[in-house]
Amino acid sequence: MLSMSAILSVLNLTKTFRLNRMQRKLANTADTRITAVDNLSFSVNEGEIFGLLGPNGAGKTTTMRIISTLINSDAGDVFVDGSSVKEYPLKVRRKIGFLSGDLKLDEFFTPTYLFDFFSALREVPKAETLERREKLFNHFGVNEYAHKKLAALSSGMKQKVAFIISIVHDPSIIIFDEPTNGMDLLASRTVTEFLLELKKQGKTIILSTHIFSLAEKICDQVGFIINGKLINSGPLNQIAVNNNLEDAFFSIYDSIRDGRIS
Amino acid sequence: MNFAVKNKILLVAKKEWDRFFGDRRMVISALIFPGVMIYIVYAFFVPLIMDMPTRKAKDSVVYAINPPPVIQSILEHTGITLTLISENEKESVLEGIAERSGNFLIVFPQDFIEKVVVYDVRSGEVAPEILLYYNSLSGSFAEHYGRILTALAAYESSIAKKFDVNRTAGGDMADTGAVGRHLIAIVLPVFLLVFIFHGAMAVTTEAITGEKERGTFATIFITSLTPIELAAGKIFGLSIQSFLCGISGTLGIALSLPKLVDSLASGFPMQDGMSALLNLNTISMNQYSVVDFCILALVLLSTACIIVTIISIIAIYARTAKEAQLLVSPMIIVFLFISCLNMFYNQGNQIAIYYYFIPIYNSAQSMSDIFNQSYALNQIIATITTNIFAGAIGCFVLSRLLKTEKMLITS
Ligand SMILES: Nc1ncnc2c1ncn2[C@@H]1O[C@H](COP(=O)(O)OP(=O)(O)OP(=O)(O)O)[C@@H](O)[C@H]1O
Ligand SMILES: [Mg+2]
Repeated sequence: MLSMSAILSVLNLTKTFRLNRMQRKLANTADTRITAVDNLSFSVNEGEIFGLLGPNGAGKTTTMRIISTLINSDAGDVFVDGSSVKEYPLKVRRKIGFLSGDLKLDEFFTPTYLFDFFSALREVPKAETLERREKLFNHFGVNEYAHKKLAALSSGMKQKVAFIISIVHDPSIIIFDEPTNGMDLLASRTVTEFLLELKKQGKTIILSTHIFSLAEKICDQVGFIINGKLINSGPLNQIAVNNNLEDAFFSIYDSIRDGRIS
Repeated sequence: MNFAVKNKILLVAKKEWDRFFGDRRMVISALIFPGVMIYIVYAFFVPLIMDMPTRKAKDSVVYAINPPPVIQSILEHTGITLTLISENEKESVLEGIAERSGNFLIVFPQDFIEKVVVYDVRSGEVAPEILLYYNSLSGSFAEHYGRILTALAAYESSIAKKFDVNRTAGGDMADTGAVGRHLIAIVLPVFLLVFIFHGAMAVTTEAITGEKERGTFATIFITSLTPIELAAGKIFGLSIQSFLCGISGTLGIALSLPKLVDSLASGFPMQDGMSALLNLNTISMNQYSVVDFCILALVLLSTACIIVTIISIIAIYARTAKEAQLLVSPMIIVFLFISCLNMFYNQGNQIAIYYYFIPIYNSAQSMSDIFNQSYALNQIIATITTNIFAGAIGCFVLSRLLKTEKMLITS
């Protein structure tokens, strides 16, 4: 399934977590370990948007975190533009931007302050920082709020700032974990536009979501993940049955539940 | 109260209890932790401090010249045995008192009793006088001083006659500058420690647990910043903040100290020794040089560093900034306790160098040394290096904790 133009490939990724007593009780299990990601493989082509779709607890976040070098896998590896996340995490970090829908920026600061802070952490030269800030703020309509504290901004505007901050260093690959999590209509629209804009600029995007309509609207490729396993993946138009991704997902999901596929 | 109402009250109360006792962290941090902490301090710290050489009241000697037997026996009843000396030994005894030996000297005139008996207040002549010499800075001062004055007053009223104490001479042999320094050394270290701790608690719980709560550690770890850089940056930044909190809080106290003492002094009828102790002119920050303040600042910075590190490590385990504060706040008892121990037991005494290797205690001790102007450079260096070394170890531990996957989980 690995194509020639793959810029990112996930190979036989496995990750288990130890469960403490409280987590065991919550999960209603006696197992001391849980397999969050189970021998997962897929690849993403340069310049495309790949959507990882799955229910709660499927292992989306865990996969995204391993790809972004935040946590280590137990087995398998991820290659980002030829660099292994295990061996060259710093190299990988330079190439990727990462954003999670859960993130709440510190509302005490202004967009400008946060932009400069993260640019400095990312070792972006000063002149380049200024130039990029100007460009990104203009492009996404943040200029007007550049010197206002985040606390004073609307949730859509905050989300835009979070997006901009995740790409201060102009990464070629962008990883978004549930980018529309908990957002209202307007804010999610901002997200869709933002992602399509990045795609237009030639960026590669991996996003996880459980919202089918979002995937249908913007993804080139999709993969279904259930219980840590990749069940089906391919170009959107091949996966979506009668152009309906949700039906396609549930026909697979139901057959797993009924024991027809494991 | 009707049954249903009572039941509902119980229901509400029970829900609160279920919430509290069902939350293991809550029970540990609010219920068990403070008690255990105090027990540990009592069990381990107190014996250590009690071992220190301190001057006790029983070690001090009360000398007397020409004491009448009747006064001698009154004093005997209060537990004071007089040691008789002659007029020519007076000088050396007074020198000892000036050097804070904790001794006393009572000088009676020749034939004191006869003079008192014949003295008539209406005659207009001066009354017979007793001279009492003491040093209000010595550790055992208060106990004997009170007994002696009580005994003299009791005798005076029993014979319905009058005599004076210290009208023309006698009194406190302590150097007046030292009295002021002593007072400052008692009061300010406690406030400095508490204000630094308070500031550190406020800023650190927000900076560590707040960041964890918001999920922003992920955005930071995705950059080229290493955990050790993050830990060091946090500790350094927060130490400076806590240091400033400590300074600003204490500055308020230091500036209001003379006023405070003034109002205290006017509110209470002061005895001779106490008014000397509270002489306003002696309580002044002007007695300290720039070098003293610089050394103090270094001690305070290193103290802030170690306090911030301890709080950071505890705060990592908390799920919310509020929970972190709950976990951390019992520590203030330990801080108060340690600085009070220092205040009561070791004022102005020289103690062994290894006490300066005990974090927090060394800070309190060094601060009072500086305020007493009795500090030695090796003790200060021991304090600062211990604190910075402990801070560095803590920084390493913190960086390891920051690297764990738990940091990425938002509540
Ligand atoms: N640090 C951890 N410790 C223990 N278990 C974990 C940890 N992180 C994730 N898990 C478990 O691993 C499984 C996969 O979690 P993950 O967060 O990757 O799912 P997800 O697909 O992102 O779900 P959601 O849609 O809820 O975000 C879940 O069962 C989760 O409880
Ligand atoms: Mg998730």
